[in-house]
Amino acid sequence: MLEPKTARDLVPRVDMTYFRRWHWLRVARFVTTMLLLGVAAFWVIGTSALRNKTIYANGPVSSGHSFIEERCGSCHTEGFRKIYDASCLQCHAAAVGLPHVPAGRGRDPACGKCHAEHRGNTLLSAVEDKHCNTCHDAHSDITSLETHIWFRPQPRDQHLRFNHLKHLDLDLVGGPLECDACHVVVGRNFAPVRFAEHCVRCHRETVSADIDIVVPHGFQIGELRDWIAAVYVREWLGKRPEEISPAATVPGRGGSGPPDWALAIAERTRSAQAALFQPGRGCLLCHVAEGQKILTPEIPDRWLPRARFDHQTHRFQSCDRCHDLREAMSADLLALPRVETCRACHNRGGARAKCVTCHPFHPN
Amino acid sequence: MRIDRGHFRWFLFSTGLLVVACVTYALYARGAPGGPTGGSAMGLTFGIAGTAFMLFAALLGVRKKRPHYRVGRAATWLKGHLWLGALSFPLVFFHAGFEFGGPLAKVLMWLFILVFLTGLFGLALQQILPRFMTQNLPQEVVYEQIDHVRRALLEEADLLVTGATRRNPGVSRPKSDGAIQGRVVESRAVPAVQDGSDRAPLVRFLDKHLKFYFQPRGPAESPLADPNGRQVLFEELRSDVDPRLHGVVADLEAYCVQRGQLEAQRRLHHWLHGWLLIHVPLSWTVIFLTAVHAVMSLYY
Repeated sequence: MLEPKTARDLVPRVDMTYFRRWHWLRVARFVTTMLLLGVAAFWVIGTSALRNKTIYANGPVSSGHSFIEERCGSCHTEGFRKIYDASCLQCHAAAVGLPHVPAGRGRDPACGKCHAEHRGNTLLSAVEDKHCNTCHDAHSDITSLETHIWFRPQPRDQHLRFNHLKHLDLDLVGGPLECDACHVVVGRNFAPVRFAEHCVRCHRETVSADIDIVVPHGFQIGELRDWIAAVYVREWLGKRPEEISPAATVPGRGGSGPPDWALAIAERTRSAQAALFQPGRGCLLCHVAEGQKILTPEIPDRWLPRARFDHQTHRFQSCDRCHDLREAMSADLLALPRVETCRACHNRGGARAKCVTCHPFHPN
Repeated sequence: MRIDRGHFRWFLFSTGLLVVACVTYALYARGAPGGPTGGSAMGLTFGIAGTAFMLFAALLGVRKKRPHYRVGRAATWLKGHLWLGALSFPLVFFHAGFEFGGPLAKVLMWLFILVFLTGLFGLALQQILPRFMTQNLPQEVVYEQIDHVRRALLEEADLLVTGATRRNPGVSRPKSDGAIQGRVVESRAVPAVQDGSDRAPLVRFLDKHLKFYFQPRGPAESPLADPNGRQVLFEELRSDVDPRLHGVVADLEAYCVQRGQLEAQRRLHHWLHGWLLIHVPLSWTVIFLTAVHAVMSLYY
């Protein structure tokens, strides 16, 4: 066996200068470090030289802003500063419109607070509900449509009686109506239903059975009485003008009290008026009278005033999918959908169900 | 560095910090309307903390190059490198909100993941290989000295075979020089015993096998690299030489064993430190790109 070595024997085996030389592993490590740093620096400097600053972006801009993706200065007007709203309003002033926060109760948050850019190909208008709850903390329990338990429709009485079911009845004279016979989508909502355009096709009220003159729409009771009387006077004039001649109507010549023709016209007017204003018939089939006044119908443009519903985007759905007309026995009972109806499509994995889907932040 | 009881306080500190960071992030992510982002106040805090830990971890390399600096023990720096470097990983992800962001951020994140994984790999090797080397390679030398020792061993073997000289074991004697007192080892080179035996088989063996085996590529191709082949060759040599030279044969065999251990040590050292070839360059690249990322993100 190899004889035991003393320290002195082992001295020749020790290279006293080894630490002054770099071993290949250290050299390789150094060279690789320099190489990688060089590549990184080349990448950074090269892209800067090509004026391509998108490498520094947190992510791709939204699809709506893709046309200015490489023009950073469009939004980033000053270095080391946040983006000013003015940059956004250069293009979006019309869409933003009036402030959301009422005067005296603070300011609207900055655009970027809700519309976070550089999050990839997302829809900037799809704002998360958390943004709304930062101020509307009273609704903090409504974290999604699943917890939105009710709708609050327009509460006022619209002073109109209308039975949808009867108009969709198969036994309706002329056949049942389709919804779009009266409800025509214009923009997001429906155009107002007007008597002259929609109802008059079927609902023609004549003065009385003996004279075929259509009652005009929009008169109050007193105005209508005068109009009917005028109709009868004209008719009398046409048949027996001598009875209403000026000579016959001079006071004192025809004896006391009104002439016979006047009494007859008054009677016919009363009769026609009574026919028109029978409860549940004539004018009162739809209208509501209070004393001698027909109450003006007040049909709101939007039944859910705090929300915005776009019928246009839902046009591929059949109306009865959302509107249960069994509940619409009269115009008082609206066939408004319940929140459960919305949830059928607007849920996780389905259509969007954010606060701003129905409650727009910007008034415009 | 082995993870042992000496790391307990670092473990407690890092785990505590991680728990605090996780809870903070959970609350922040839950409350942030647009989700967590690196540009928010909390996101920036996570980013700054993560970067600080990364920088501290990177300073270990500087500390190693300046061992004489009185800035704490190297072991403490290494522990800090391990634990704070590991802690920077979740902090950076909290900063980014677990998003990889744009091109630069993506590259940065993937490089950082690679740095972390290579670090873990190195740490795992450090738990296994040093112990293995201690147990199986008793004649371990400083890695950078392996080539020098290899050459020295060959020279010694050459001297043994040719019988030129031998070094006596040396004698330890007390010696004083003024106020300096101590013991010194004195030895002298003496001619090898000229026993008149035939050394030709030894010389042939030296020329044919040993010199080749002690070359840098020797262990890969020489039959002496294989323990069984080595045993056969030395048995043949013993049968060829005068029994009086069996001691020399045994010495030569011991040199061969040591040569084998040097080669094994070299291989293990490459495993033990080879991962640094990836870890260190990537780390510096990450630090460079982090600086670019920080400046440009704050600019825009």
